[in-house]
Amino acid sequence: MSQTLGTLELAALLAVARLGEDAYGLSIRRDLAARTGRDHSVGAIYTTLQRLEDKGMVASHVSAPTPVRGGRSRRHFTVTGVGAQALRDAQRHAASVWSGVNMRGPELA
Amino acid sequence: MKVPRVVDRAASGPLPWFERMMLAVGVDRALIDAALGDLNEEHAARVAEDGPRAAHRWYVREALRSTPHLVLSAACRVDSRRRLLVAVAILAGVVVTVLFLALQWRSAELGPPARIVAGVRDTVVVNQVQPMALPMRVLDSAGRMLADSGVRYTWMSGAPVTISARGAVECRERGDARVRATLGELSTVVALLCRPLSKINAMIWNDFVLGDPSRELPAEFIGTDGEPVTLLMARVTVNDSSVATLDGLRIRPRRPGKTYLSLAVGKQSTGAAIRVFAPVSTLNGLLPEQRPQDRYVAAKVHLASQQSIRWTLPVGLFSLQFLPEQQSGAALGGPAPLLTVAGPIMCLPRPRPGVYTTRCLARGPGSTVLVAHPGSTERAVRGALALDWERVRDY
Repeated sequence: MSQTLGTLELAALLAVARLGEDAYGLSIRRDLAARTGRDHSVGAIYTTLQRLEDKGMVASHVSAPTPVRGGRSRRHFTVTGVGAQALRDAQRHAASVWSGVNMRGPELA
Repeated sequence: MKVPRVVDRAASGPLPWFERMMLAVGVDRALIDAALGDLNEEHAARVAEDGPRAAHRWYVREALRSTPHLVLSAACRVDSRRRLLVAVAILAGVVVTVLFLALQWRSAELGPPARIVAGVRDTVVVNQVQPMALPMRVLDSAGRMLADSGVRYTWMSGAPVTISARGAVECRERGDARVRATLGELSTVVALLCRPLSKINAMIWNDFVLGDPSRELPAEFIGTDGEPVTLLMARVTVNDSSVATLDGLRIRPRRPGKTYLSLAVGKQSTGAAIRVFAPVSTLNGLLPEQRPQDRYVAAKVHLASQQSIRWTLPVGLFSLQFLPEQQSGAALGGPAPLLTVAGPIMCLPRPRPGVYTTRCLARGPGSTVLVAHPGSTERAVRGALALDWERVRDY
């Protein structure tokens, strides 16, 4: 794995991948809240996305400003090749560390 | 990142000082714009839903929750001269947070009832014949919800609706009534719109080719009087919103796959499947076992009279269905093709004229489907042949 991903970074990167062209801060925040039950602050989401962008895992662009956003634009995110590779690495890594664990075994039952 | 504006900055959110403070401590302007834009967007939605006071409180709380993240992010990016300013800002943030929490703690004590609100803006739609409790909220002056401690109801005018003093309403037939709700000195008039349903007729399968425009859920809501009902209080959910999302009762396809929709109105409920197919030029060479993107595909069919096309089919269990071309959400109404399968394949129902959906088991390679113009008309066959492959390990 070339770059490590924190838990929130991984969740945010997955949300960006899942949401496709609808991926912007608010939709990502709602997606994470629906899937994890955790209500992350807007600041936490954007600083996480900024870290992902610094790592080259997501790219962003802004849309046209809208009155409902107080004249501000949406900042849309897309997963880059580096991000896609990081997701594959994370999935492989998770599968590797989980392999051999028997969830029905007496230790985990 | 340069971000354009369409309104004056001072009017761009409930807390204009928040942006100035963030800029002063060196938070990136693009980051502030994106974050505050999101806050403004959700604030607007909450104003409509919860009222301006509750929305403003939410905004302030979210801005404060975001502050440490934004400031710390800035601290990692600014030069040493600005770091001192950031440190001061963090200290100020801590003080403000403590003060805010203290105020929250003080204001946590609920006030006396100040307002009673029923349903949405004192309008309640009833879609069932069984008795139901009127959805009533008792709020204090700060908009916080209180326990419903003794709201009393009386029928005022309109349709002969049965309503108990505690708000159990029974709508046996279609009609509008006015009901008075009273709590001490508080009083409000509730518009009761009785539209009891007897059944919902909904399309079980809703198929899209990716790129299709959104479509209204094909559903018919029949009242107890046998007439259609259009005024509804419905709960609609989609299991996997990455495949399709809902905009009211409109279904918008998002990615190839299959998901399920559940719809509940009053005591009536129903479900529907939504399939989204990836457009492909041919069904030849599909490897759905190895390539998940080959599991929901639709190949375009455009056949003039006497034309036909043959495709090879993958091994496994799948359904084949002809999807007529849509325009503005409705099928164009052209002829459907004749489907014929050949090779080591078994389909039920057996493809024949009039069968547009069939479920097939291809036991080995070499199965084919022939899609042919029916010949009964000169009109062209226009649409797509969709294949929905299922993972089956033992057959």
